Amino acid sequence: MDALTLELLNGLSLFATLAIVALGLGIVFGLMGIINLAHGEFVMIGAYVAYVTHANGLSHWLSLPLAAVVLFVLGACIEVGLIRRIHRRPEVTILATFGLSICLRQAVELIFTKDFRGVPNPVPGATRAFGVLFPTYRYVLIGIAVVVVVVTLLAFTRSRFGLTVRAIVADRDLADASGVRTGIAYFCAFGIGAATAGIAGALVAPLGAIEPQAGLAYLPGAFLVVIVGGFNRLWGVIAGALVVAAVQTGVIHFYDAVWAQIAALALAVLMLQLRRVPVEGATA
Amino acid sequence: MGSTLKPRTRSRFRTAAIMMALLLGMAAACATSDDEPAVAEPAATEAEAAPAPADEPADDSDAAPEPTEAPATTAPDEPAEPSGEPVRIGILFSNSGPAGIFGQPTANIAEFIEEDINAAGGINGRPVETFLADDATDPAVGRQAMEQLIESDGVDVVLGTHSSATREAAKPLAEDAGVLYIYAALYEGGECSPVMFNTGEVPSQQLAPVIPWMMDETGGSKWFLLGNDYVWPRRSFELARQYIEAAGGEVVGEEYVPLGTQDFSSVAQQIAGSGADLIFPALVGGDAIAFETQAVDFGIGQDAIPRLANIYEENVLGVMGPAVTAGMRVTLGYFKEVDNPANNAFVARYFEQFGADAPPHMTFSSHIYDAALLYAAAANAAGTTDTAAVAAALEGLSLSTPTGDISITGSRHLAQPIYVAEIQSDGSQLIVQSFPAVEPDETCSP
Repeated sequence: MDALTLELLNGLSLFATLAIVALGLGIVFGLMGIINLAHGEFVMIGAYVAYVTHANGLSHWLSLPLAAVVLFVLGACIEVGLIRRIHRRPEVTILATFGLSICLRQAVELIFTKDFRGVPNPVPGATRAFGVLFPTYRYVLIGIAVVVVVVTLLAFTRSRFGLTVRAIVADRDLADASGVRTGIAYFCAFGIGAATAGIAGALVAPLGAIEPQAGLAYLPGAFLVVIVGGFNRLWGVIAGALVVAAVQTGVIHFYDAVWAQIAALALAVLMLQLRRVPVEGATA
Repeated sequence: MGSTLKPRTRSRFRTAAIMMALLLGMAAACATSDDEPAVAEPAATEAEAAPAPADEPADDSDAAPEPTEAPATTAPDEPAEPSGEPVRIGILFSNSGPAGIFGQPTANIAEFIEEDINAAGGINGRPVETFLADDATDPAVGRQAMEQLIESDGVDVVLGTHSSATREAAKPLAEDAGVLYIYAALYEGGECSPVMFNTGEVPSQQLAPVIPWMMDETGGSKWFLLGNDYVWPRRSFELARQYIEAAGGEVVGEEYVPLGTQDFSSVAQQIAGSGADLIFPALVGGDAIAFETQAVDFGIGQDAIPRLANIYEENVLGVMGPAVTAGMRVTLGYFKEVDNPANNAFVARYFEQFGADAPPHMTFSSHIYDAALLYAAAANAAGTTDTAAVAAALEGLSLSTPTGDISITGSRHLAQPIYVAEIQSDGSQLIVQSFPAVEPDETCSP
């Protein structure tokens, strides 16, 4: 019984991590239709923001809003300087964002070197709840991730801003002609996508290594979640993260981590086959 | 809509560029305010940029197959004795990509190789020159790097410290060209080729003497083996299982996780439920950091279940922090803390030359240094740089280096000392046990 509770909590923390890492990609790829191969680097830079915050003696919690601000600015710059010019041509976007990911990795390497960095756990130890001991930081992570994901999704589905973005996605020229300020809306949407990735990076920083290559590990997981959850529904990020976390935790429990990775990828192939996704013109 | 919008977009682009520059500037300022000032760019780039025209082959010995042209270069402008066309020593290493973290110490040690061998009179009276090539931790790039060393730089020997995948990709080129290839990284064992020698630690050396010692030391006998899923951890665990059972212990769990694993919660739970009282983690880089930092909160840290690690190195241990690492034991063929007069002087000189905060000299760079000394000694004994003659001279060759006493075995591997370091509460490493001249359990007769 206790073992089951622990496994459920493990699954929940994996779900929260996957959901917040994939959230930005859900917005940028799922909603706006931009294939962003530099998404993992946004997460990695968020983790470095946490490192710099720690190195300057500031609280880890401060790094979450800081990472959001830094990544929003960076994401917005990238939208204006790069994505805006090419977003109608997916094949060019793939190449450009792939190149961008290399540039970001190398820039971080130039500044921080290749050395591994780390951030100490701000709340070390475990908490007893539901009859089991479970790491305190993971409870915090689950809480923050769920709040960030839900608030962001509400902003995109229930607000006027969200409506604007969806109008642009549906028909940019028509939106432009109707007086919608397409430039600003896209700029903000991409910036917010990057900002959530930054928060994700700062949030997972105390659980692992921070290094320039770290982003590469997040990208496949994020795409997996968006593919499984469905491209054209933003709330799909939650469904996708839930399914992927359940499959991974289940397979690790009964088999091992290598089979869990294979199962998750097989799931993505299956979902793509079942779904016959439209490439263009996704709606919320 | 195009033409009217253009000026606006352009000015936006400029604003974006300025903002980006500001952001990068801010980040750079943060980085320099940190305790680690920007490190000077590796010596590797200098060495790579060093003139190495393809039409100027390094040749010398009559036995070598390459055509000889008039040697154009003059000897380096140092007053030392060696003169003539330099002997070219290629170093194939990982200076970027995941294993790039081990690159800088090797690039530094390449300078020592030139200085020390030349100061001792060079090879057969000729100076040595090193040529570095980066495999970017990618076998395809590694193959090209090997090609560059052999074809463009015209090296007489290649010393390698990189993954086994790169070795397998690059080896055929050395075999075809008849260039001696000394692979100096710790690896899974089993390599055997007419042009190759393997001087890194193999699992039998790292584990055979240390596993029984660890069980005596801690009183534990129930091992959990946790490794990344590739050949080196699998081979290490295969042997570890034999040594554990021979010493009267048992393996209560064996798990493999993919490289790049970030969440160890389920694995931590399996370990906690296995009843293990010893953990042998064969995890590399970021995976090691993620596992150890997460394990503490799951109640299976070093305090609860002692670790014997075979790859945890200083950078990785430093990030985990002493609170996590204190008490862990690591088994390797070299630590900079090895206490003998030659090593103490060597390490002091290293930090004096490359700065107190230089990436520390460690087992990979130490084995490259030793491989260069072995090559120089063998080439001097053979009186030539001909591959077959040097290979014959290498077999059975013994040397005393800062590492300790080493000798090439009949299986073309290296009998070498194995050290066990224990991490102290301040994060430093203390050698708590050493096993001299440990023989590798390998067979090879090419």
